[in-house]
Amino acid sequence: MTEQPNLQAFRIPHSSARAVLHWAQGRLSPTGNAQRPIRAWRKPLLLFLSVQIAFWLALFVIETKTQPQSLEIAPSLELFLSESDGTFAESGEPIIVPYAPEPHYYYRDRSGAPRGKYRIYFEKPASDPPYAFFIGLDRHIDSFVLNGEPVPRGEVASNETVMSGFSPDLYPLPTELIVDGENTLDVILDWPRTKVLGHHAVGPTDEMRVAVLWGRAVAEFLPLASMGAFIFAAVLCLAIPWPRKDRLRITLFLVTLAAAAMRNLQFFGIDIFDQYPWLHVTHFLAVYLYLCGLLALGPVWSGSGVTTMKLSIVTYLTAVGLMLIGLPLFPQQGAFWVFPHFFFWGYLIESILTMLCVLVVFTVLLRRSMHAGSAQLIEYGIILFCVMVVGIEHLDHRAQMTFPFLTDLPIKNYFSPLASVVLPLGLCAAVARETARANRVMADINTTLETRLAEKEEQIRLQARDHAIVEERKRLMQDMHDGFGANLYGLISQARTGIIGTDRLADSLQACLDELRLMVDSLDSAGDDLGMALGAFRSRIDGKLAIAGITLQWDIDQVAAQHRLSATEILQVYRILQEACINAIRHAMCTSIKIALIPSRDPDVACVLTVEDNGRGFDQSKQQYGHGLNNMASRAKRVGGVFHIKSTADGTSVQVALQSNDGSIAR
Amino acid sequence: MQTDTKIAVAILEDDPGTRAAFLAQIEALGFILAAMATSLSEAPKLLTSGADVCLVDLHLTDGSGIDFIREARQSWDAKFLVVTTFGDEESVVAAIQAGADGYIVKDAATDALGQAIVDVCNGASPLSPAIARYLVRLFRDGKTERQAEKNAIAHLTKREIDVLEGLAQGLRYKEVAIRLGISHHTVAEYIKIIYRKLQVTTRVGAIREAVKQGFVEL
Repeated sequence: MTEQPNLQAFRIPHSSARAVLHWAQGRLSPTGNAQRPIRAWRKPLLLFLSVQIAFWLALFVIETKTQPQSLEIAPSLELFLSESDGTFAESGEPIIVPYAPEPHYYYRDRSGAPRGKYRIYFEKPASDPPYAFFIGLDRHIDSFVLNGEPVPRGEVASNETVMSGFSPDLYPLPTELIVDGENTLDVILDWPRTKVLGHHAVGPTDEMRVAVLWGRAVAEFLPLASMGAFIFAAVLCLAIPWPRKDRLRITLFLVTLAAAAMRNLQFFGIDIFDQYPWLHVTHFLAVYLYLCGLLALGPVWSGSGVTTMKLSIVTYLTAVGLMLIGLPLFPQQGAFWVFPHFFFWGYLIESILTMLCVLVVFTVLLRRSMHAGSAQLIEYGIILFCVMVVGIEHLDHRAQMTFPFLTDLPIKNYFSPLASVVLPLGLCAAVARETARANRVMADINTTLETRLAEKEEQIRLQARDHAIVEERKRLMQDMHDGFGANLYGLISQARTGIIGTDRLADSLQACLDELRLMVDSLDSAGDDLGMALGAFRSRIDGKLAIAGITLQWDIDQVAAQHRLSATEILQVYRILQEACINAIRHAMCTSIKIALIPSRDPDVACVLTVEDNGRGFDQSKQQYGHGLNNMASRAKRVGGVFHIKSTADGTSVQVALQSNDGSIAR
Repeated sequence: MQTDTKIAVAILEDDPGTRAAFLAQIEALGFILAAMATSLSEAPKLLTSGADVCLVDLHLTDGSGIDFIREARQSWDAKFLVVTTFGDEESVVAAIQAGADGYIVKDAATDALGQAIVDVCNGASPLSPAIARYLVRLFRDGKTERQAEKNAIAHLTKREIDVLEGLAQGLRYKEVAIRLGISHHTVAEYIKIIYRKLQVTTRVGAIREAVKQGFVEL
């Protein structure tokens, strides 16, 4: 991770800005290390600014899109206060409040069902009808009363949308009931299922519809996308055989994502919490696991270490500990430990823990980003974005802190799913980075291994060659010693003593030369197929036969010719052929010789080599098997072949069946 | 054997024994000895001898006959016959690539020399089983360090390889012709083509090499 992101675009232009940065640097590093270059702070600064821009931009876009364009939040709203015993109908003094906390007033309607009531005053909108009542968070609205007239029930759209709770909706208002000047709209809520009216407005229906569509798109698709992203990330995590060092952070990541997905369950209207209050504990667990996961993920993501591992374990234990403490303390009141801010200490603990998480993650990641590569910066940015979501949600929802342009945020509810869509992107970035690195490492390793392998192969090849050379030399020496070496020696002594005639001497020398040529040819033919080896023999024997006036019939089957023999075997075959031919020339008085190679039907026999002459033959019963014939038989045996000789008055036939050896047939 | 006009022969050979054998054979066959050189340094005098055929030994004391052929080829249109021993196919192919028109094997039967000289004068090129084998091996395994040979082999057609394989298996021209179902003249043509391909690719290779070495600029 040495590549540097292109930071030139973010160069600080003014020297005054640099001076400020230098000052900040001096303040921030207590050691006053003036040598540290200013560029060290560029990456954290860049990261921080990017995250802030991304977060607030996303917030602003979603916020403006999911509200009516000419939003006129009902300018005033009064709550009907009442005594809390539920016996009063519509009495009590209304109070006018700018924001809509939960109504303290409630009553029972004629059927005895508990209801809460908000009264909203609005001026008749300047634009043309039709008008509608817009509510940013879909609440359990029971009915409307406009200017004292109940809005017919049929006019009230179903408020049970697919996604419960957080979907924006609009309710058409009958035009004839709206009067010039101030109008009064009573919104009757299904108490206590709905405690807060939330963000609402009265205005032209078309405008409202656009906002509703945007709001639903965000509120419904984001949780869906977050679940999809979770499944995708889970598959990715489980499908890849992660290296040992990555397992911790991947497990952490999965748990965090699972927690986020669980938080998002409530967006699907799976309201099992109402039936089984104890299930709220899972919600609580999910929230804290998510927080702690984010807390640990940042440091762990960027590389493991004992400290980060301990940190993550401690945070998880803290979360589980809080759970275990909360469980016996408030066994009946599920809501209390789901939303610990209902009681003072719970609120404090949650606030401290949340803010601690946010601060720690920001500090750690911003510090680490100084030495991070561009891919890591992206990951850090994604984690910080998610942490921002957690922090702002907390400030907005738990601490009820409002921002200038974010009055009564519906948006806080969209951010959790948004974050859990964004989070898997971090995984993808990490996977991509790791894959790239792994590929580089593998490529390096492969290159090294290939080089080593090639060296080894070369070594082995050389050794094998040396070995083969030694073996061949041994064989040659043996052959020379036993064969024409001995012959030459005999000839020399015979020539010295003069007991050998010139013709016989020349013949014998010729025989020695022939033998030498056979050896050279056999070495030369090593690795060739039988056809080519026989071709070499033919060019040797041709001249002799021509001189002797014998015609040669050459009949080599092309398939059988593909049989392969080693150099030693070829030499033996040559010798058999030579012996047979010389016998034919010298003794058979023949006029023609046929050398044939034919394939065999016997699977054990590859091919059969035949030397046939049309000479006078010899009597096999009388003729002692001479030296030459015995030699041929033993040589055939050495090649693993079967030798067969047949002689009649019409000629002699010598046959060698060459055994098939697997893999010997040419490619 | 065509001996109407007497063929003039030049010899480049350093071994006295072989020289004597050649001289005896040339005389016996009725050819004229045009000039004789015993080393590469003496060889230039052969160029002006007006010989029809030049016998070149490859392994001279002061160099290779191949170099002589390559140089002489530029200015002299005599036929070059390379004199070889057995097991020397690589040198023979190199000589063919350098421009030799044929070769004879030193230990061949006596009348082979005369036949080879007449053949080469008639424009035929010999291709012995040994050389054919060498080329087929090159084609099958590609085991050579000489790029020029690789190029030459790569340019041979299927039919030319068939001819080479037939020859490598010891078949005569006629037998090759029968096996391939063509006339034996066509086989001879194929062999000439093989010669030409070996030489042409060498020239291209030589030019490339020259450009690479910086002798020639394209």
